[in-house]
Amino acid sequence: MITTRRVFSAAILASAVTAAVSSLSVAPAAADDGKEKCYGVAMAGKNDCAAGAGTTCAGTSKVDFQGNSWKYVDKGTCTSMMLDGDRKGSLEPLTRDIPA
Amino acid sequence: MPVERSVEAAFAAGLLDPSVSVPVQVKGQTPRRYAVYRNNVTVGLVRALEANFPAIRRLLGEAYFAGLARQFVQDYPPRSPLLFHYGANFPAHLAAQDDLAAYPYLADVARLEQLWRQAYHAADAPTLAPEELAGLDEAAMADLRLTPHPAFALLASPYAVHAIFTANRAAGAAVADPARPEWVMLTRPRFDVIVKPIPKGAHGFFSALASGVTLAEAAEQGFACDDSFDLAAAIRLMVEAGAFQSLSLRATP
Repeated sequence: MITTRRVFSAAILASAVTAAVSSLSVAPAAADDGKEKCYGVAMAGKNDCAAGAGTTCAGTSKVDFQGNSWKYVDKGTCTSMMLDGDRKGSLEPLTRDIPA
Repeated sequence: MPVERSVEAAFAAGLLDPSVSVPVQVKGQTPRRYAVYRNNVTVGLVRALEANFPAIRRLLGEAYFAGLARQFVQDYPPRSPLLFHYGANFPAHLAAQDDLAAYPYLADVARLEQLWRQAYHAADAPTLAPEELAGLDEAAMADLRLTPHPAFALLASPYAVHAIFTANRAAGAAVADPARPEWVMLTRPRFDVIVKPIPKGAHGFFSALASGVTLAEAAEQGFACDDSFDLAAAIRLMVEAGAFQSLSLRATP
């Protein structure tokens, strides 16, 4: 069997890399799906995280707005959400509303 | 063996095997009580498979899937308490069913569902930024190697696995032509798993890159798979999807 072996010069590789990344002038869109984890905003039992059997974190929050449970929300909306009792969402886990 | 352990082992032995008689330690009770545990273990594991292979369940129908899953649970009880990993042998189990010989794509669709879960649960890691590649000297290109992101995976199939997977993870319509090859890449740059059909040459290129060879060697592999391989498009695709996490410039791996 005859195989044609192509040899790629550094110049060819460099021009392919340049062509590829120049069309990605901004940060890759796929790396940002427009959601962020928002703590302290989920109603009891409505927190996110579902993937396969035995993942017990989804739907396990015991109280409304539990501070250490999170939900995916549209980016930028987390900390400006209006919640009952002057609560605010947070991008970091909170210590409020933790069930005993 | 301490007494507790032997009781435990005897109790567990019959849980998945109806032909094993009720362990002597619980004989004082009515056997129906032991049957409750048998039922709970089997139903729990069947539910785990339903959660792990939703597209297969939709393709086979609930009743057929449940029967097949019950058999699988007996033949391959889980080896890990992490049930979201359960079902590594399920694709092979599907392929071995004579009744399903008319649907040869099922095993690869199940493999894709298994890969999806692995990608979902893979460690978080940063992805290679376009600037890191753009900043390289031309001379450095020859020794460029890339480290795959923890969530990165590839699947090649003689069947339209991506189309069938996508249609059946949601309530999509039947795929008209399942017997066409597809190449699939899975990534998870942030929260969501991305399952993307890719060209044959890109599959060869990514698979070579992920094995640790240089960019030049991987590019050769891409062209060996497909004459019409587009190197620049493939590089763009992998950066955009977050397939790799970092680069290194080493002459030897």
